[in-house]
Parts: sequence; structure tokens; C-alpha cells
Amino acid sequence: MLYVVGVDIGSTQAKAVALDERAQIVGQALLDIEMNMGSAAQEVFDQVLRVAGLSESEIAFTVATGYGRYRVTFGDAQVTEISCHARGATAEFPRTRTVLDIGGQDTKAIRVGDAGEVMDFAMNDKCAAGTGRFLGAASFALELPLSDLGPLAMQATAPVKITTTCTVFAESEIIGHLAKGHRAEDVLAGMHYSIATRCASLVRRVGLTPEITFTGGVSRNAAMVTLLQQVLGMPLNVSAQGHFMGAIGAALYALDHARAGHPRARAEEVPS
Amino acid sequence: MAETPSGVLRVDARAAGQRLVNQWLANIHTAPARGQPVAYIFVMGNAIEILRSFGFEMVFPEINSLQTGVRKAAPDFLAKAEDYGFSPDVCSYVKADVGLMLSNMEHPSGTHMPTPDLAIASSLCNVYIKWAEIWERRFGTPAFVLDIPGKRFESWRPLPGTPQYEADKRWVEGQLRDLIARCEDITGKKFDPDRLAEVETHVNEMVRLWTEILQLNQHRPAPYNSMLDGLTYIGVLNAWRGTPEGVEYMRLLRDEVADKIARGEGRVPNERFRLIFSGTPCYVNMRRLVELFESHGGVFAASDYLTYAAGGLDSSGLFYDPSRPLESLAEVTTLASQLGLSNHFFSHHTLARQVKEYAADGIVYHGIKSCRTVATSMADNREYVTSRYGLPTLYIESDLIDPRYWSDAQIKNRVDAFFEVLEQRSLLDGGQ
Amino acid sequence: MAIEIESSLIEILARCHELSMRQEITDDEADNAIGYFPVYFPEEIVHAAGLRPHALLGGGNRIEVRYADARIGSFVCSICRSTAELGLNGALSGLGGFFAQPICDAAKHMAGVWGRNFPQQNPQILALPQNVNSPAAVRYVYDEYQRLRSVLEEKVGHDITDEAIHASLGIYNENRRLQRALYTIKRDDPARLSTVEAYLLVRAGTRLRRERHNELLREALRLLPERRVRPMDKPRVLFLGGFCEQPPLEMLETIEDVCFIVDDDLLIGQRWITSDVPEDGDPVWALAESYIQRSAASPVQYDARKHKEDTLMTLLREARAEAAIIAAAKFCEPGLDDQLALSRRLDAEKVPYLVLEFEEKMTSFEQMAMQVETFAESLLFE
Repeated sequence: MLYVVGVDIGSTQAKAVALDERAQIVGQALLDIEMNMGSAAQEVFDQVLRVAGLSESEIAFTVATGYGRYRVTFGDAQVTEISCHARGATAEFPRTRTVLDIGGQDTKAIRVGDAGEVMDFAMNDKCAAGTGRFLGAASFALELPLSDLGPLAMQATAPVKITTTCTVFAESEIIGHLAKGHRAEDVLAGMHYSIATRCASLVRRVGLTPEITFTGGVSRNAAMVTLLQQVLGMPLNVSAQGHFMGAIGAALYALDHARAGHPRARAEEVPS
Repeated sequence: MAETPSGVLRVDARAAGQRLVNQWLANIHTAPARGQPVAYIFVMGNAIEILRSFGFEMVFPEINSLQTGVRKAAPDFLAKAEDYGFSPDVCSYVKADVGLMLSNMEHPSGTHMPTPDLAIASSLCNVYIKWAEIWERRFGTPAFVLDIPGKRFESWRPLPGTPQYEADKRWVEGQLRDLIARCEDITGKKFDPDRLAEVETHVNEMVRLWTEILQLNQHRPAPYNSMLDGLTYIGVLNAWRGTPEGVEYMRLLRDEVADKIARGEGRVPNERFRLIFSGTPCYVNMRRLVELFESHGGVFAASDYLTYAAGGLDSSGLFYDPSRPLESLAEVTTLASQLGLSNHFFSHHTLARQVKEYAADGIVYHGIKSCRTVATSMADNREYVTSRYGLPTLYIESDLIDPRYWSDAQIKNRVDAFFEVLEQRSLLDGGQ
Repeated sequence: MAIEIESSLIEILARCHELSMRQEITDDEADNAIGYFPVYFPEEIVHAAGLRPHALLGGGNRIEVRYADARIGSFVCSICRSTAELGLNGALSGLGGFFAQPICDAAKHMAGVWGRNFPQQNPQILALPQNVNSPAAVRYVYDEYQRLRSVLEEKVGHDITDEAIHASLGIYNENRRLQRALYTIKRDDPARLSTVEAYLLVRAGTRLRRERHNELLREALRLLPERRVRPMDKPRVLFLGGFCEQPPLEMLETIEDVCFIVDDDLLIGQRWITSDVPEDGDPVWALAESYIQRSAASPVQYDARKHKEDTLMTLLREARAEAAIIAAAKFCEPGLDDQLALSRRLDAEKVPYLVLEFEEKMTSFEQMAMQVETFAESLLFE
């Protein structure tokens, strides 16, 4: 049995997925990056091996993705998250033609062709508004964990319009609204709506072609899913593995390499 | 020229170009002492031919500013301008020039920039005019605004003899006559049409050679990278436009490029993808930007920058008629602006055509944060080209010279993803 | 009596407000509305063709930008973005033409955006010159205006006669006189007519046939002298920065809470020609010559005769303003460049001033109110 690994090294989190030769997930691991990307990469790799019950020598190929992909010393190849998210999304939802990935740091809209190949992409990587960081600002201002924000926003009755376009000022705007007596639920709904409209704008840059698959950490947020469907005017595919989509895509690329018999970048031989 | 070990003579245009640039800067430095009048001009639209006929020394503040980026002096100059009160959103070239003014005109190249006796701002970039107003305040030099009507819409094709063309040409000619009168006032010399004709003859030759050099890059592999080597070429040809030295340099350059083709030498050793570039360089990270592409085997075979930043020297095959020097200057200036120089706003079809001409695989759009001339509708242009022509395109952004807008990781990410797209496409095409 | 006057004025102003804020082209005027981007446009020629000039003044602060962010760069003024949005969301699908003037590089790009997306509206640049100081300038503007005339003639399928243009000149001259009358009241009796009111009265003209606008202005000018006015003591200021992207009404209200704006450049394109266009001789020549010889000033028009700082001092003096508010739209290069130069001159002349940056899409004004109030207080206690 052939095994491969995909690692996704972002600036705050490292994720790894191990697949077998039938592309079934045999292990997943995630950790927050505390020290540096390089050591986090090694740690998450070791962790996924443990979870999968595999040893390093059993891994036929490893592909690294994310901003930290070049820091992964044990990676055999590097592929951008754009290609990886597209690959992962299409593998799970074969009729995907557009992928929206809202990560903690950046947001991507990807247009995908019939063969799952990337045709075009647009990114928001300079400005935090429209990314998970906007929600991070809310989490901080409301002193609530990120995971609570979505469910709370779903209980809004009168969403507050958020006008600030800058995460830096978002916190003060939120506090201002709360001081005026608005409910946290309504403020949060406003923030989610703000993100949704920015992301919709990004999607329109590559063209709104169904089916749309929503990936990335923020895809676990039910309020975000609901609002995006509303703003885009069409249903979204959401994976239970959305948070790991980059690593899954990377692992699928690794599987391509392994099946093609490509050697690992290091000199060690893969046991047959 | 340098000999190679095999004894074959190799052309060295680079050394010649460097010498010329150094000489030009030295001339600028000594112009006031030599009593030579100094003109501040811009690359797009400047009537340099008339100025040469009057013996002005040319200063290109745009080149001064881009050099502050190249020489890593931009942050200091930009900070000085912003401390003085200029908004961060103002064009970074303008701010770098203000920084120069606030640094006693001591340019990082070691040149002391003289104050202008004449300043010409064309309407081909509206910021030129705001920039010239700053000089008016600082130096007391009245601006000469040369209004050059550009394309009114994408398919605008001025034909000599038509009312539109004649009206525009008449307007440009009228202003050129005004300019001549101004030059006569400043220099105390009379206008010399023969001298103008002589300058134009040199420009004609440079146009011929530049057009050829641009076309030579259609060869596979491309002998030069239009957004790296090309930048050095235009620095020289702008500064020496209309001179025998400029002609000689361009001959050398053409020979060097042709020589590379004869030897099968491409700029990128394993050329995998050919690209068209739209936008300006990021002068503060000039090499790095190109390296990101070359590391994937990508070469910029052509760019719109080498049209407008070469002062329209390709002029779409237009030549001066030295027997009617002033009239033909007006004609060519008008036509060049409408066929090439004002194309920023309507470049979608031109870019797609260049993809064909250069057998390119896609277009890279480089948006500039402080330059609205380049960036305002670039995303719309890209959207049109992508959907109408189905061409792969990439959008990256930074700035002309402001290093705060360069984000290496983000740009690299986009570039890497773009090459993944191109690789996929070539695999799929290959499989058909 | 006073109540009736006031309620008639309120009615007129309400109508002006509705007209000013209207974005869509109504069905009855579809295809006859010729859109033009700021600042100035020779409306008389369009009017003479039987068409309605439709000034494009941006989407204000109520528009939701959904499509334009994908097409317009991020460091670009809001008016370009919102105008693109109005095009892309269909609000301007009824335009029968689109013109952009070379006021700045972003504006020139609007012609490109329109050309790629709405070619059926025959979009183009009307190449007004940045050099108005050459003896050859009038002829050039004349030729460009004649080009405009033939474009419109082709559209309507008949000639636009000189007589028709003369008639339009008469109507527009009257319109400009009426606008000047409003501004005279603002200057001499600011408690009688607020800037927001004057603004709405002027802006309504961009959605009405000029003849109708003249009627409306005449009616307002008839009522105004009869209006009961409460004397107020507020500092007299000059407001500059509204020549293209428009500040939100709430911003003007915020300023007027504490100051009299006795002169401004708001919608200056509507009164760009400063005195009557001659109504004899070649009407197109008269219009062209007026552009060169009897026009106002703005950061987007170079004119060696109208030094920016000197013009500012003249405006201050003629308006008898004691201070200036120098505003600029965010990302507006010409506005921002001039803002600095004007500030420096005001420093040298020891004239108090306030520098503001605004966006048409602003919706919260607390911070600005604080700045303006502090400024006004400092003036009162001088």
C-alpha cells in the first residue's frame, strides 16, 4: 500500500493529511504555529504519521503548500494553496467550477475547469477585511471564542450595518455599536455580511459559475455559509473537511507523483 | 566590443549604454556651469526634437525618481515628501522628486540636479501637469503644458486628411510653435529648422532600429527580457533620443540582439513560457520581480511599457519627414499619441494581439498602487481579455518605487499559482 | 404668509432632493440621456439636439458596490468606482451616450471601462485641453465641439442647426444667471439660503430639462426674499474640494451646523462658464471661446492665468470669507496635490483653514463633526 502526505503551512496554523493509494484519508493533524514554520511543519508531519500509524519511510511522496511551503525541508514538491484547494474541492465535489477559500490570512476565489484545473484566480491577500481576520477582530472585541461567532450571528434579528472597511478600526466600530445598545448577535451578523459581500466581489472577479465550493477554516461557520449563499444567490458545497482542504489537495498531488513513480527529493528509497 | 575565447567578436551594448548614461548625468551636472539651458521633460510627450535643436540639456524627472527606487534611496525621499505634507496616496514618482528637492537636489546617482529653465508637461499623464505645478512653485519655472489629444475610444484611427486628424494635428502644431517662441525667449537663439531636421533624421533611424529590436523578441527563445533588459535599453534611448550617439547605441543593441538569435541564445536558458507584461516595473525590486518568473522558465517577450516608456519610439512605424520638420513633428506626435501613447485606457485588443505576435502563453498585469494612469481599469481590462480571448492572465500589484507595497510572499504565491495554471494548460493541450 | 413661503420652499427642495439623489434613467428618457463624467461638459450642444445631458455624479453613500471592485483598482477615488457600479448594476442602462473628459487619469479610464462593457452607448473621451493658454486653443476646442455635434447628429438622425444651439445658449445663459443669483444670496445673506439648499437646487438641474430647471430656480428665487430668516452668527468659510466627487449631504450639514459656507466649488461644472456665452455669431465658436476665456478654476484644469494659490486668495476675498475648508476626495491626485499647496499659502497669509479628506460613500460623521466644531470654535474666539 502506497501512502502520501500533504502539509499546509500557513502563518498561524500547520495542517497535515495522510492518504492511502485509494485517496482515503488515514490521518489528519493540526497545530498552532508557536515557534516557526519550519519546526511546526516537522511537528505536524510527525503527528499525522502517529495518528495514521505510519513511519516516515512508508511515505512515498510529500507535497507542501501554504505560505510556508518552502520552509518544509522534508517536502518533495511545493504546490500553491490555490491549486491545492482547487484540487481538494474538485475531488470531493466533482462538479465544482468555482472555489471560495476564506482562510485566516487571505481569501481566494478560484475558477476551475472541467478537469479540475485552475483557470483563473483572484486573491485578497493585502487587506484583512474579507478574511478570517475580520472575525478575529470581532472575537477580540466581544471576548468570545471564534467558534461561538457563527452560531451567535445566526440569532440576529436586526443586523447592524458595518461600514468600516479596515480591520484595525473594526474593533472600535464594534465596541461603538455595543455601547449604543445593539445586541452582539446583530453586530456579528453585520460583520459576517460585510465579509460575505467582499468575498462575493472576489468571486465575481473570476466569474460566478456553479457549482461553488466553499473551503478553508471559515467554511465551518454556518452564518458565513448562509450569508454567502444569500449574497451569491446560489447554494454552496461545503466540505466537512473544509479546514483541511489545502492539505488534502497537496496530498492528492503527492499521490499523482507517487503513482507516476517520481522519486522523493531526498535520497532515501521508498520500500516496495 | 569584446572578443570571446573562440575569437568571434561579441557586441557589448551594455557597456556602451552604461557609458552613455554616465555621460548624460555628467552633462546634466555641468550644464549650469557651462551655461547650457536645462529642460525638465517627461517620457510621454515632450517635443525633445525641438529642444535638442535649441541645445537644451534634458533632465527626465521620471528617470530621476525611478533611479531612487533602483538605488534604494526611495524610502528616505518618500518620507521627506510625506513629512512635508504630501498624502501617501500621491504618485510615488512625484514624492521622490519632492524628496530630491528637499535634499538640495542631490540625486543618489551623485548628480546635482540643476533647476529647469523650461518645463514641459504633456497631457498624456495628468499627473505630469500637477508635477509641473510643483516645479512652478519651487523653481519659479512656468510650466509649458503640451496638450496632446489622444484616442477618444478604442477603435479611433486617425487618418490624415480627415477633419478629426487635421484638427488634432493643427492643435499640436500650434502649441509647438508656441513652444518654439518660448525656447527662443529662453535661449536667445532663433529656431533652426535645419537643426530640427537633423535631429529628426536621427530619431527616424532610432525608430527603425527600435521597431526591429522589439520585433526580434518574437524569436523563440526570446533574446532579451522586455521587463529587465528592456528597462536598461529605454533609459539610454530616452536620454539620447535624436543624437548620433543614440543611433550608434541602438545599432549596437540591434546587432547584439541579432547576434544572440544567431547563436540561439535566449535570455532564459530553458524558456518554458513566453509572457506579455502590462504595467510598469517595480523599480525597487526590478530584478526580483523578473526572477520570480524566470525561475519558472518564464520570459517577458513584450510589454506595453516598452511602447509608452520609450516615448512612443516605436510610433507604429511613423517617421519624420525632414523636409517639413515642424509639420511632420506635429503629425507624428499626434499620431504616436493616438496609436500608442494613449493606449493605457484602451489596451485590451492590443495586448491580445501581442500575445499572438509573440506566441505568448499569457499576460501579466502589474497594478501600481500610486499610479492611476496604469492601474485604474486594469482589472476590467484583464476581465475582458480573459473572458473574450480565453487567455491566462495574472494580476499582481506593488508600486513603482515604494518598497512598502512589495510583499514578496504574496507576489510569489500568485506567480507560482499562475505557472501551475500554465503548466496544467500545456499538459492538457499536449494531451489533445 | 411666512409659513406658506417656507412650505413652498420645502416642497421645491424636497423635489430637488429626490431629483438629485435619483440614479436610474427613467423609461421616458431612455436613450435620450447623454451621460457625462465630471467636471464640465458643453451641455448646450446636447440640449440643442433634443437630448438630455445627464451629469454622472457618482453613487453617493447609499449604493452597495457589488461588481465594481472586480473592475476598478483599489487606490482609486470612490466616484470612479461607484460610477462603474451604476453601469454594471444596470442603473445606467438607459444612457444613450457616455463622455469622459481628461480631468485626470482615472477619469480617462472610465471611457475604457465603458468601451469594454457598454459599447452600445458609444462611449468616448471629449478631449478638452489641459492647455488653454495657446492662441490656437479656441480653434481646437471649437473643432472638438464640432466633432461632438456630428456624433450627436448621427445619433438623432438630423442636423443640429446653429439656430437650435443659439436657443440653447439662451436657456443656459439664463440658467447660469439664476445659479449666480443663488450664490449671491449665499454670500450676502447666508442665513437666508443654506449651502445644502443651494446645492440641491443646483444639482436638481442635472436631472431636468434646463427650461424646467430655470422655472424651478426662478420660483425659488421669488420665494427666498420673502423667507423669514433667523439671524445667526457663524464664521464665514470658503469650501473647496467638491469639484468632482461629491461630499455627502450629511458632511455639508455637519459643516453648516457651525459655519456659513459663503462660497464653494461644489458642482462647479454646472456653473463653469462664469458669464454669458455670447448669443450672436457662430454659437459653437462662442461656446469654445467661453471655455477658454470665461471659465472658473479647479484643480483639474491647468491655466497659467489662474495660479491655484492666487485664485484661492481671490475667492476668499470676494466671498468675504474669514477661513477656508480645503477638502479633497480620498485618492484624488489633483485634489490632494492642490490641498497641500493651498494649505501652505494659507499658512503664509495667516488665514485659518481646515483640511479634510472625504469619500462620497461616508456614512458616519462623528469624527468630522468634532474637527469642524473645534475649527469653528477657534474662529469664534479669534
